[in-house]
Amino acid sequence: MLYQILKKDMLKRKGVNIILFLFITLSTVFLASSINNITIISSAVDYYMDYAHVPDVNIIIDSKKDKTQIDHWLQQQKEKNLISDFEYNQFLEVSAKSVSVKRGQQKETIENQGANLYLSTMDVDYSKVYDDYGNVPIVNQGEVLVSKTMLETEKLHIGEKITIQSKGVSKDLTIKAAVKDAAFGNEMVGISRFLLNEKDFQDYQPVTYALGVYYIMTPDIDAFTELLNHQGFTQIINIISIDTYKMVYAFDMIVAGLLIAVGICLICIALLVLRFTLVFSIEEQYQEIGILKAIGLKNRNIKKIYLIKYFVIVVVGAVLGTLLSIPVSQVMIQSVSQNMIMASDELNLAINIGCALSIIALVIMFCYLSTRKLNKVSAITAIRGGYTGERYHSYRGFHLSKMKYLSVSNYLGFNDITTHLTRYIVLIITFCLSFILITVPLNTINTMHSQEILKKFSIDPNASVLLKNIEVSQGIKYHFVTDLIEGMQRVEKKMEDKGYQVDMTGEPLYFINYTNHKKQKNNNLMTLQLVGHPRDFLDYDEGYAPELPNEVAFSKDIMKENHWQIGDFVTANINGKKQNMIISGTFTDYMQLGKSARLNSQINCDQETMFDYWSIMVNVHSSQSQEKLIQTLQKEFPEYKWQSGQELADETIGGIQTSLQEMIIPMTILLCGVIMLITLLMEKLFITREKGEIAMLKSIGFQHKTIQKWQMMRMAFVVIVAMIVSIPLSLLSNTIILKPIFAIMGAQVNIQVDPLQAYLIYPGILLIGIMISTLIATHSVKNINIREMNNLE
Amino acid sequence: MESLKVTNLCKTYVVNKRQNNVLRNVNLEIQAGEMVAIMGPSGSGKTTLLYTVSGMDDATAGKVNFFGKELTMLKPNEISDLRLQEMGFVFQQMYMLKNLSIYDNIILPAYQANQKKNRHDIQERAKILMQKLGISDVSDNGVNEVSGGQLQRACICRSLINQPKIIFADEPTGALNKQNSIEVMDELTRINVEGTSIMLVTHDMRVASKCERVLYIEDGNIRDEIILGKCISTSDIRQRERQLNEWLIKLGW
Repeated sequence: MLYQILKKDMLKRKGVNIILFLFITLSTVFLASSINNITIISSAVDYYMDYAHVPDVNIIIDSKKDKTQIDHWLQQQKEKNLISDFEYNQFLEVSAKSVSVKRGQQKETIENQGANLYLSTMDVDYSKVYDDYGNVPIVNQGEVLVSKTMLETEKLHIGEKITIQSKGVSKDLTIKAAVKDAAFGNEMVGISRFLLNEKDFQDYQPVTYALGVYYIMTPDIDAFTELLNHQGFTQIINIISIDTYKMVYAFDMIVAGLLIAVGICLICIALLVLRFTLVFSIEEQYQEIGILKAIGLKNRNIKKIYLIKYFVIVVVGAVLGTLLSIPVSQVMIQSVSQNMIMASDELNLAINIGCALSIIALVIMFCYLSTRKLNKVSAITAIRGGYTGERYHSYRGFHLSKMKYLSVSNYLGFNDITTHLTRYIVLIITFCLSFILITVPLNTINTMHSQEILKKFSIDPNASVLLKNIEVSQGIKYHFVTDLIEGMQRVEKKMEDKGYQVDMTGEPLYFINYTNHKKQKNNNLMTLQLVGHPRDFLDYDEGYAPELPNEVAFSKDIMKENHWQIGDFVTANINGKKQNMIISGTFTDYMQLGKSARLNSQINCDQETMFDYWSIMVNVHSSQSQEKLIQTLQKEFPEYKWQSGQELADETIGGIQTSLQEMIIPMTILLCGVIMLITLLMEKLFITREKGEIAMLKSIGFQHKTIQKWQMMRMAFVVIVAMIVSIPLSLLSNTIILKPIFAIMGAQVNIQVDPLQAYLIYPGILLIGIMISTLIATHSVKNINIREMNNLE
Repeated sequence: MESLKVTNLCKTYVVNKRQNNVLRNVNLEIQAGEMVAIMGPSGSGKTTLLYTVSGMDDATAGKVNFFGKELTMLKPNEISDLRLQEMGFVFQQMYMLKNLSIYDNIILPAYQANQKKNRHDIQERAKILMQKLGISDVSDNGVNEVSGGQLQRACICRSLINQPKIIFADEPTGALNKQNSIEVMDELTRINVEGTSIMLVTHDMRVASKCERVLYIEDGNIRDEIILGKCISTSDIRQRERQLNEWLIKLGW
């Protein structure tokens, strides 16, 4: 009997069944493959770090300064067992401009987003590199190894010759292989390197500035780092822990995480739709249920009739989803294995099966709970179509007679929602979710394009252009602020010669050690100073910008960590001398993940090693647009890098912004597709439920188009309600989703919303999709025979 | 004089490749202001005749001339408009929209038919009709908050709201108790006296006895008819019932 019922039920609502089936299949694919991927990545990262022997801590120092003190201290810690081992080598620093590749007759320089490149060897037992097969490649003289990321982003090819120049030493080196470089292989770490043969490396060494790199293994990273910070070694430029290297790989999990979110959303929607269809089916067949109850069937047996169909749909959907998730998982794992060495790149089928079983269990349990209504209904109530005989509840709704301007179809649509809001909740929630989902990337992009974000990156939004790579020939890096100022003056002169009136402001970056008198804690902080043309674009949360030579400002995180307050004194080690300074203000920004200091422009830092300069902000007295101006300047001064503040911010954030922008259209299409399917499904169910009423309206002379308009208007009202509800929810999502994400970079930021885009254009696109779907579904109104009026309860 | 004229009307259903001729060359004419009952055994084609004549169902063959308009030649939308503006319907089950109040259900077809007309006039007309049919006090009630008789009277109000030329009633008292049946039939009779034609299908002899003319349909064809004349007063109702009863017995009822 069950088979007969199942067969009949499956054919009865084919469209609804197919859509439910699709939802279950898709959510299984997304969840199974993404959970598999995340599990594999999280275990693989640890394995890869061990395999490549990535140290627990890297200390980067200025090799020009004496390191005996650090060596001695490290040796002491080794004896005290705070560190188990340490090694040291050097990375030679060359500017990106000094590395070129010959393509045809032209030589193209490496971009590397304008950042410096490093030359190193494999002379230490740490941070090893591997080829695709997990072997350590041998580099012969005249050869070079390039990381896979570099090969890809710079469009280099194995066998190609690159030329590396450094102060008179120039070598043509053949790219031997693209390697997996666990520690320095990703541009996000900021130390992209070429691996050279030791002989070639030694040729560059005497003439090239070098960073000293310590590789430290310690059983307690936090304790070691804290103790190291207390030493106040002025040679230290940066300290990188293994967690930073691991974090780079965690970004691979973001896509998987997003897919899990999509999968969960699909499951939730499927559950809501299932509940609606189940309750609908039960209500529709009340009389049959009543008869079954009356002849003595137990609730359990009746429920079985309803559940069997969904059980079959869920099981078949989950099985198909599991099968489809296998190739999807393999593709995801393959993309991950390209960048790391994995213990095994076999997918864990148990995870996929586990996911499918969980989905089946969840959906069936939910369906079972949804049929609880059956327990409460007595046989006679069911036979009466669900009515208990009590019919004394007052009519709630808007009266047609009080609607002066609403047409009948508009009124009917409006009235349906006001009288049965719960019936439309599934749709409102789904549409709301879609609207919110679409606003997340839109608001992210808008925020990334805001003036506030530029300020958080210490870029003046009013600067005409930004300038980089002003170093003279062979890309010799500036090491002192005096070099930078000289360079700026040189470029200024050059520009003036060509008729440009410009004001330039440089942003040198130093790593300065600050100590506190009371707490005796050392902070080696990245410190920004503005030199050249004065500017006051930097914002301060409290206090004011450091102006006097003894004033300094710190980011909020630093103030909090050290329990400092505005007005406190700190000792800064500048130019090798200890200087007392007063804290004038606090700020939040994205420099060094929100942990930095700002020096006043007055103080002389001539003798302080400049780690780098962030950018040179240039105001050009010109009527040209920024885009045009950049093009003109790039043409007239091709030896420098000209860009907008936004471009620098985008470069710094990485490819996220581009990825988001690329994601918008596919995401809109995907969302549109999903909500169109749901709308189709729900509208078909509504029409089935309202067959009797539709037939009655037809009988008294309502045309198809009027009935269609009623259905369309109702859906439009649902969308409008969803749109209205989604506005505060979207603002809430900005606070609970986007703000924390931006805060990861180091500072809170006001999420920028373009109301036209976020609340009108994109929801409008979804609205069009919904209305098309409704139009398609309401086509079946034509097929409703007037005799269906007998279905009216 | 204008009338509803049915000529050689045929209706055939094909079920499981089997042809079922429900109406076979039916010919009838209902004059303006006339009240005609269709009687006959179950499955004889009474309801199909009513549905086909009113344009709710397509005819397989034949012609239906609705007060000068050839129904079979009209497009579906034109038939819908005709039903909305010139026909009224009362069914055995009191079909109304559950989301709307009684009053809103009544004015609904008028709002739809007269979109440009002053809504105030429609509301006034609805109030008058409700008053006449004695349901003014339940106008704001929901469909589930009134008795069957009140609901059927509300359906009659709805059928009259657009001042139709004819009311088609399918077993209008079929779901009502005796008292409610009498009240509903009294209202229909009064409406007919006021000039609206009525074609009703019934099994109930007492209902049919209030009609001017009764047609007996059997096997899809009109077998006979009896003219009872206008039912003006309740005094001769016994006589009309007896007359009808005798006629029906003769036909094998």
